[in-house]
Amino acid sequence: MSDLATAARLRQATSQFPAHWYCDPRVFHAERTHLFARSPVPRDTSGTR
Amino acid sequence: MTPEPGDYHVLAARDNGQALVHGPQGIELLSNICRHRQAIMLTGRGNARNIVCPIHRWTYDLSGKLLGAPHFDDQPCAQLGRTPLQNWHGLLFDGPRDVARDLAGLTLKDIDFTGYVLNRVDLHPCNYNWKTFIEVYLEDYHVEPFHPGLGQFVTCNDLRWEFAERASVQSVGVNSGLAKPGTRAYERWHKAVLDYYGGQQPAQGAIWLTYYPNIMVEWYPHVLVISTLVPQAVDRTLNVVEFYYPEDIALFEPEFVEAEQAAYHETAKEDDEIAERMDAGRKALYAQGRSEVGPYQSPMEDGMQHFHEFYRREMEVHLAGL
Repeated sequence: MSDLATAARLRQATSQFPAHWYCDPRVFHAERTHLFARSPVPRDTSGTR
Repeated sequence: MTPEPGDYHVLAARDNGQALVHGPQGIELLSNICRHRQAIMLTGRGNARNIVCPIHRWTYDLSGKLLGAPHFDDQPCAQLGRTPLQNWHGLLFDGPRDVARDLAGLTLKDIDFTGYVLNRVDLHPCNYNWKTFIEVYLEDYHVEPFHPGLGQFVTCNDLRWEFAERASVQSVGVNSGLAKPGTRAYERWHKAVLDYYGGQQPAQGAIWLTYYPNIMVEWYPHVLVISTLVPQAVDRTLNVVEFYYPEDIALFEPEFVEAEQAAYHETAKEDDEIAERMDAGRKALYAQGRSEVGPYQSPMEDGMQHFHEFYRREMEVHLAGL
């Protein structure tokens, strides 16, 4: 008998990345160009010392 | 980092090419590269009246304006580059994003960084992909089986998630009044916390904010840790880790600071092993020309799924055909 409550918690992995997104240098370079070039960068905590 | 006028802090993670400088207009992010022969000028941290290049003595004021260039009849018109900063709850950011807008959807009440002081900056090299780091950070499923210390410090039984378009927050409680430390390092940390709190349990175990794609802000009892990932290659990532504490702790409670950092490093080492195993498995699949995916456990892996969805929104169009 299937456990529907458990099955509901195990969502399908529709969003997980394929293996080559972690290994392909072309993906890495695309990330540098399109993701990190437009990202915020933390620089210090002004309220802190 | 730079509380007093004249204070400066050179950013090692940016190849020392920029420095935070507390000048007449407050804290500014200035280029640390001389306009004459492009030498690095300031090093480390300190306090100065002016910024002076040691090679030819070109001298700039603390807003970056060139004051003097020895033996030039006509003063060169040169100024150090300045990068605008944004302030969010006392944290300073640069970059093109509107930070306040990005994080506006998060409630994050009771945040107050006032009086916290920088204690230490670690440059932690990670031998795995930056996305793997974020994935490990954004799931609590592994905490109990893989972190004997952290898993007895916090409890994920009351895990709460909050999501914004480019960020998520996970909050977890204190585990059983810190009564059962799981490792030697955490035993020391439990004791330091309980001693500081007079034997009482802190109100929270941990709050972990992830600002996608690569910034993590962590609050533990009287501890603030900011981590920034710098991707260096597909399988190399530099994690810049900054430790802050309330001033009284930073100055007068060395045992609290040392115990906290020892526990933190123990957990970080365990996370390294998790990430290295995940990357190794994916490399093996990649070498075989294969790929596999698995399901998300909810709620413990909700943050990982949220990050995956963010990344796909941002990147899928650029990865088409790869």
